[in-house]
Amino acid sequence: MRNQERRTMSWRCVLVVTVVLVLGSIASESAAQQTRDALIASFGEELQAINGKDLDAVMSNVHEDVVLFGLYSPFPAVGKAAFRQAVQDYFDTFEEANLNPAHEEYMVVGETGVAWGLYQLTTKPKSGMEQTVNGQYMFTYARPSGQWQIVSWHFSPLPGGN
Amino acid sequence: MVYEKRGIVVGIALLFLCVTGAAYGDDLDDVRAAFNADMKRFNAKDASAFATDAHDEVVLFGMLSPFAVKGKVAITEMLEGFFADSERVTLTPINPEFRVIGASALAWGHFTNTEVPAVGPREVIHGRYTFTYAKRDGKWVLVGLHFSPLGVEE
Repeated sequence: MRNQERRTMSWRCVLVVTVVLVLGSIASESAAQQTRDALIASFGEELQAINGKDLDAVMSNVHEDVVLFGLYSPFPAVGKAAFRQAVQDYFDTFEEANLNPAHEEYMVVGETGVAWGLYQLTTKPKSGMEQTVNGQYMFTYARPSGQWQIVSWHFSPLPGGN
Repeated sequence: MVYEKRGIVVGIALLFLCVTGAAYGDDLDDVRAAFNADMKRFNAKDASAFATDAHDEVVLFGMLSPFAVKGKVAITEMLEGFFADSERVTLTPINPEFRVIGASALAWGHFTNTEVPAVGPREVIHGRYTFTYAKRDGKWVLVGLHFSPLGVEE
């Protein structure tokens, strides 16, 4: 009788541990998916802000130590103030500018996020003709306080991509 | 009594600053060491460069293809092909900079890549790079690389 009770107890323990592990795994996968979804949403919001020429919205998720390798200077813009100035210059140069990503991909590794792909940038200067350039982009995000923040933008035009 | 308490608070604050500063310094040194080791491997034509201390899904935007190269295996294979066609390759970082932001880190700067191909003239490419690292289980792993050429001289 005691042996049977022990066996029943053992099976119950195994069942409880299995259920806890399965639930833990589901919760972990769900949290990972939410983190990834938040990264994708952050990228989308950033893009909308750029194309909407909304400087404050662009800057809302930018880390203090951000580094930008952009299209109009060979040198990096380092820090939030330099980044803001570079974006402001971009807005001031063009009457219209539309940045369209293609083949967008995302990766989350712990507290680091990477968004990369190709882009097509169509610009209409205040004086001059409309121009379209193609290139590659890689954005890096960090999550130092639970929210994705941009720490790096790197754009590179493709040769012959005009 | 009040002075003693103040002294203790200041002491704890200084200790905290020293500990966090040292940790940050160590991280920065570790990222720099990982970056330098990859440069050394690359210049020794070791195809495991950018894969040894990399995440399995590391992504590279390089100078050889407009498309991203994804994963350690694909990057190693690409480098094997590149090194097989080259007699000598020297990638020199210029003004390399490093930054640690929590469990993420960046290495960026300019580079000059000099390639002496097995056939054909020497080619020198100047450009910019950004490497992204993530800290996993106490170790910095490479998760993204982006090289963008600014110009070519022959």
